[in-house]
Amino acid sequence: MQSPQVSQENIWKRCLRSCLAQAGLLVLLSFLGCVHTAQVAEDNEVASYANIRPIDLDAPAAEKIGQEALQKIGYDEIIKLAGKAGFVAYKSNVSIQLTSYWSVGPTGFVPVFSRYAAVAGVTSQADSPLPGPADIAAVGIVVIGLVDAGLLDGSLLNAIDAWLFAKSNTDKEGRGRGANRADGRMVDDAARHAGISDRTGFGKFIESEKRATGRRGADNFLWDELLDLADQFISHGGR
Amino acid sequence: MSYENNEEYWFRFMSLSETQVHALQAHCVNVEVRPKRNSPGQFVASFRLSHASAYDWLPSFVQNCKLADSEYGVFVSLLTKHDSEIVTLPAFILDVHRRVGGQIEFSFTMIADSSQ
Repeated sequence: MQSPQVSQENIWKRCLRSCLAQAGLLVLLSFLGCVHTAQVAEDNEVASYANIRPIDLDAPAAEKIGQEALQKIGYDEIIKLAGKAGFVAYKSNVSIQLTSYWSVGPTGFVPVFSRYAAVAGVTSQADSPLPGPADIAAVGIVVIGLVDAGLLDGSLLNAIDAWLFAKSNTDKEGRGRGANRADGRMVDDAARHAGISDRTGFGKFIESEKRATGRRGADNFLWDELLDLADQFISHGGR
Repeated sequence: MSYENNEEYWFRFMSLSETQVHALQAHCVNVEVRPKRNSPGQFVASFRLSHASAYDWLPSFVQNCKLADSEYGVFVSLLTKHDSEIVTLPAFILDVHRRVGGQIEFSFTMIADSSQ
């Protein structure tokens, strides 16, 4: 039989062990929380990489994304997530009933894109009907909106990866639809890099080369070519 | 309409043979000719359009060369320091385009002040 003093020591030890275990668990949970936060941040980085509005996505890419999302996630789940993202509102409107995929419930309300969906760039107009499962391009746009909103992991869909990869290559090359803004910076950067102070003269030289060499809209100068042009400009007496 | 005197109007042929280039030079002295990239035997030729010159010969020249619409036309070149502007083509450029056809291409380069 144990003495009361030994029994009290055991109780304290048990208490201490329990506290240590709880503290350890707390540290572990905090660590896991940090790891999770880091993953979310990484995901957000991927999402924000697509710095165009979802509605501006080109139709073939939207279709691919929509098709894959419908296969892997399912239409109902996508719409459910759209609701969680705040993209869906409910309206009572006869004209919507005529065009909407959704059947009108007994209350007469149908789901439509919310104002927030319009702000988020998932639709061009608030109160427009949600896309049906056959409208794969529009579903693809909603999916991009969900990735942007952080409700869907973009890396789950190969089509999004492929689109981001293609977009990143296009941006690096300075070609494609967004090239003009990049070129504006690139021309200025190339002039600065080569120590050219006569920006107007350099601009005229670039314009002259574009015309004379038969360049066209989708055929903008690359960074290395701009540096070569800067060297040529200087060798022709430009300053 | 002037655009800070940083606009230029050219007529450009994207793909002419050597014979066609010679024929063009017979009509117009100041033709800038460069070999076309990745197209041996073909040349890019352009000349600056001026209000003071007459281009009556141009429609028949284009017709004789049997060129596709996408292979020739007015080339408008702009330098700009602005991110929003309106450019109106002068009447003599519109007249050339009306009579000759082809494309109207706009090329611009945005330049920053050297002080920036």
